[in-house]
Order: sequence, then C-alpha cells, then structure tokens
Amino acid sequence: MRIIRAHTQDLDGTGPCTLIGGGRSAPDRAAFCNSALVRYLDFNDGYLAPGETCHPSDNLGAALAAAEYANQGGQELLAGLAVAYQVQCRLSDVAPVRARGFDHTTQGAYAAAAGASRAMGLGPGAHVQRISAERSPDY
Amino acid sequence: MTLVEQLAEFVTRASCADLSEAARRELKIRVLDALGVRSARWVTGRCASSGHTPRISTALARVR
Repeated sequence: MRIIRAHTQDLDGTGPCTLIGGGRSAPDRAAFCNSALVRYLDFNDGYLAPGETCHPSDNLGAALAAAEYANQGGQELLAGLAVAYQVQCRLSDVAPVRARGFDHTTQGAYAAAAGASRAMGLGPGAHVQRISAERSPDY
Repeated sequence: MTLVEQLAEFVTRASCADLSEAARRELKIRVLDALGVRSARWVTGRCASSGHTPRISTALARVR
C-alpha cells in the first residue's frame, strides 16, 4: 500500500479527489488507491452465487471518487454503490464466468462503471458510454 | 434495445429513495465495514491526532 500510495501521489498529488488517510489525486487514481486500501488483505465482503464468487465492496473506491469528483452528496454515493452491488451480484448470478477460466473482475468492471456513472449523476447516454467503454482485464 | 442500453436504463432509474430502510442500513454498514477493513487504523490515527470526526462517517449519518 505504501508503494501504491507513493506512486499515486507521484503521478498526481493535486487532483480533485481525496485519498483516504490524506492526500489528493485524479479520480481514477484515487479510485485505484482507495480500492486497494479496501482490498489488499482480502478481508472485504463476499457474495456467493452458484457459479461465481465476488467482492462487491471493491466498487466503493470508484463510487466514492466519482461522487466526490461530481460534487455529489451521500445519497448519490449510496445510490451509485447500490447500483454497483446490484449489477455485480446479479451478473454473478446469471452470467458466471469462473467455469470458463475468468474471474469475478469481469462482472466487477461493469458494476464499477455503472456505479460510478450513477454516483456522478450522469444521463442515460453517458451511462451507455461509460459501461460500453469498460473493459475487464480478463479479456 | 441492447443489453448495455437496458443496463443504462436501470442505472438511470435507480435512486437512493428506492432503497428500503433495511437495504440503506445494510449499505451504510458495508461502506463502514469496507473502510474499516484496512483504513480504520490510518483514519482514526489521523483523527485522534487532529481531534476531528471522520468526514465519511459524519456524511453517512446524515443520509436518510
């Protein structure tokens, strides 16, 4: 985490989004750094679908950075996070990929895009753009 | 309508007001739990030294 944090601030230490524990960076880098804080000991929540397991709190960093970047309040943050949870868990239920050799970041990529988009309060066209542009590192 | 467009429509419609009281409570718990997993020590250490309440906790408490 110390390396991620130092790297994040080295790339951009003056952006509009808060790094938990102090410091600032660009939205995507703040999302990455804060998500790593949640994730790096692998103690975060888990959702057990029949053919998939995922960790929906992975989405918090993206929703938090998006809400702050768009100057949104707590309600929009929670709406974005709820969307991300719903998308990731539902996709894990109906479109599992584990048996095909991929992992849950596939559904997570769509969930993070949908949640961040909702947290920013974007319109439907922008939601499509953000979700369509998302790429899972598995593909 | 494509699947992505259907997903975007769901995202557009979703509102914090749609969440039940139980769902909202559980969601807040997950926010604090996720933050608490690894950042609690960092945040509380800083807050203890500065005398401030964590802003995220304060903001969540205001959301009804």
